[in-house]
Amino acid sequence: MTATEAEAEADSAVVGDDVYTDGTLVRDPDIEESLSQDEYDPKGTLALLLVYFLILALMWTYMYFVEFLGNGATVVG
Amino acid sequence: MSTPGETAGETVESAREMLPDNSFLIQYPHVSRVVRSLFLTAFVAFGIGAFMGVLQALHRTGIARIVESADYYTFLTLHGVLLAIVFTIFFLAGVFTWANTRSLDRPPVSKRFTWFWVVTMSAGTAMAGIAMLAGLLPSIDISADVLFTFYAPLQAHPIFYIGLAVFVIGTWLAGIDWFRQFLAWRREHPDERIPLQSFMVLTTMIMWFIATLGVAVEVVVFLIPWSLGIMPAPNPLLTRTLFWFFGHPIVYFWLMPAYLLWYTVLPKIAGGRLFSDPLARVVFVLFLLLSTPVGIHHQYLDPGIAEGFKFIAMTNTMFLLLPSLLTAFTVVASIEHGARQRGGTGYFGWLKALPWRDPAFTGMALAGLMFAAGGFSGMVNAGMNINYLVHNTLWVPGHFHLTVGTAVALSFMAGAYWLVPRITGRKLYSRPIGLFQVVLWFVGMVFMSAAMHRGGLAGIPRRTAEPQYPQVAFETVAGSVGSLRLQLAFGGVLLFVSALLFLMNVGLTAMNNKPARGLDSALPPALSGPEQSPTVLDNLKLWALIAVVLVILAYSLPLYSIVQGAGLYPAGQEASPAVIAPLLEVIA
Amino acid sequence: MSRLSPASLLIVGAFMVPLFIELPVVLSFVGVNLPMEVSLGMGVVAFAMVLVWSEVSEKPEAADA
Ligand code: HEM
Ligand SMILES: [Cu+2]
Repeated sequence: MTATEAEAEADSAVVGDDVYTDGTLVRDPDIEESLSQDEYDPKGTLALLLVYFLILALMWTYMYFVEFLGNGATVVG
Repeated sequence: MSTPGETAGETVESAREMLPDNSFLIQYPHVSRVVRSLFLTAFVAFGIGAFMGVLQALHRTGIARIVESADYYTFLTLHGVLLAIVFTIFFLAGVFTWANTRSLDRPPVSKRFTWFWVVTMSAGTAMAGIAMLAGLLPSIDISADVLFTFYAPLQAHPIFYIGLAVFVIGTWLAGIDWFRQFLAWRREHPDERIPLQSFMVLTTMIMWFIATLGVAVEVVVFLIPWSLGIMPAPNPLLTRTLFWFFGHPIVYFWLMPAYLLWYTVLPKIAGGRLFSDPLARVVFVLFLLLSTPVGIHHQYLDPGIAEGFKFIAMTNTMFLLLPSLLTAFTVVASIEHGARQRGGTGYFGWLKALPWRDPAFTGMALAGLMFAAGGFSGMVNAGMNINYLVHNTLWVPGHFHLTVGTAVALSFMAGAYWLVPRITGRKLYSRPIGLFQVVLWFVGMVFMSAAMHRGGLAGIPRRTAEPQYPQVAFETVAGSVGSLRLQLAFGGVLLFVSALLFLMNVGLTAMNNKPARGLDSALPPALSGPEQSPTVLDNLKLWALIAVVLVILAYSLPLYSIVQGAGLYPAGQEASPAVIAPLLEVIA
Repeated sequence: MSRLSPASLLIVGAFMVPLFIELPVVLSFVGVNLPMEVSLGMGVVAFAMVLVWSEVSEKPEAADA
């Protein structure tokens, strides 16, 4: 139990954002910097979303083959 | 009932003093207890439901038939209701209670009232649960094998419907409780913007009030009197339409709490800040407006509803993609902000700077990823023409195990890893097990869901105990049907193991004598704050009104023509199974 | 020392699963018939290679934990 308490004390200095769910310290405060809205340009998000849209477009093309070439026309009603 | 300090001995007790003063447990010990009790019910339902899930996966693939095929629907109903209604709603009620209290910074108005709705919801669940479980005992003449989509002509014992009604009333009372809490806050802060989390809770609940009108009418006006034998069998199409009036928005009732976690908790875990508070509000308003007038997209194959109404539902559904895509952008941008603050660089390199070792982060990230895949199969379901290709096939369970079964359920599990220490003051039992568990859920779901999608394209039906027919050979796109069955069953087993690990980890956390640390309950402010958005966004009355108008527009004509067509009680409708007849004989 | 931590290995392995499950489907699209079992087997081999690489490769800088 003493070990836990010691850990707790060490962590309490940086309590808050710098901990995982179980309280283990993981972040390196040295590399931490604060990015304001103007300094931040979410280009990685753009890249990821473009990849997603690309996959979607390919899947849709694939869907075309599944629906129209794989089976006859679907008629309901 | 006892607080954790009383039961846990002095370690946690003394650790309490080490918790920051602004930690939730210190500020709101009573609310924490409410949340714990809601989570407990949620997790019990999750455990039973997951067990039914693995039984089904093994049964329908023919790997192991532990139960009689005749009992398959009892298990399937238990699985659907316990997971999609009980687990999700009890958990989200806990999240909402926490979020509303935290963001308004005041407890609910009346402790009594809060416990009253908790008890109401629990009592309703118990009644419905007993009715479903009794289906397994042939000696008792009670059953509710009507599946999660409980409309006529399948009939359940009245206890099931009455339990459902009581449960829904419990959720209404919960919503009223959260609104009263908000109004009390409003009196003291007349000119402030509604705090974001509370805004999310309130918009979600307005949507839920509107949506549940459909199911309330279905159950109270038609199903309960019918199952009691006082009224004839209702028009099945009418009950189906009323069910789906509620059956689609319930999807957003599951998702919006998950979004609440993604928008407000996930950025903090990732070390960043929410990208835009106004965008988050816009998304929730759009969900409030568009969730309900789309339910008919579940009825593309129902005869008796004109194609034009179906087309309108499809158009509305496609509009619903907008808030989902906005969410994808805002959430990913908020995470990226965290990664860049922590030194991440490049177009994709920043991904490495994310806290992947944290099960709360990884769970939600994987949940979001699966949701992106579910987005595709959802678009297929939503298209009137392609829907015919997959309707009632295994594709559909494949789709919603990505959405509710993972985007929601895995986010909730990940959220629990973050929240349970905050409402118990106890340290998470094991972070590595948590991480392994969320990844295992992802892997299991890839196996099960991919096999289900592919099986559906090959024409394998859903909701079937033995989908093996000597006369029919299913043609798959890639791989054999035999290999698809193995993948489905294998995935189901992995999922079940993952569920057990989760329950074990959370259970041991609840009994852990080590104190939790770092429980600061403050969430970082958004990069672009609420002051940058028009105040009309906070005008809840206006949005509620527009939502109601949209519902009236979308549903009045279809409902009118259904009632005109076959009437409320068409002659010759038979209940199935006829549970009530023997009962009446006994009474008579 | 290993290049990848157990947690990273877990994540990397997880992301490989969907790739190798979808591979046969993508290939069938261009007319190649790859049995699912073979694809999954390839996935296992690929993961084993990542494992080995993680064990034997040198770290770019020792400080990078
Ligand atoms: C242990 C993990 C799980 C396994 C192995 C599993 C397995 C299955 C299987 C095989 C089916 C299809 C049965 C059939 O159509 O014949 C099914 C249906 C279903 N599952 Fe799951 N599932 C799991 C988790 C979940 C979760 C977490 C949810 C929601 C929160 C969920 C919600 C549903 C629903 C709503 C149905 C449809 C029931 C119906 O057709 O009425 N499942 N599940
Ligand atoms: Cu829907």
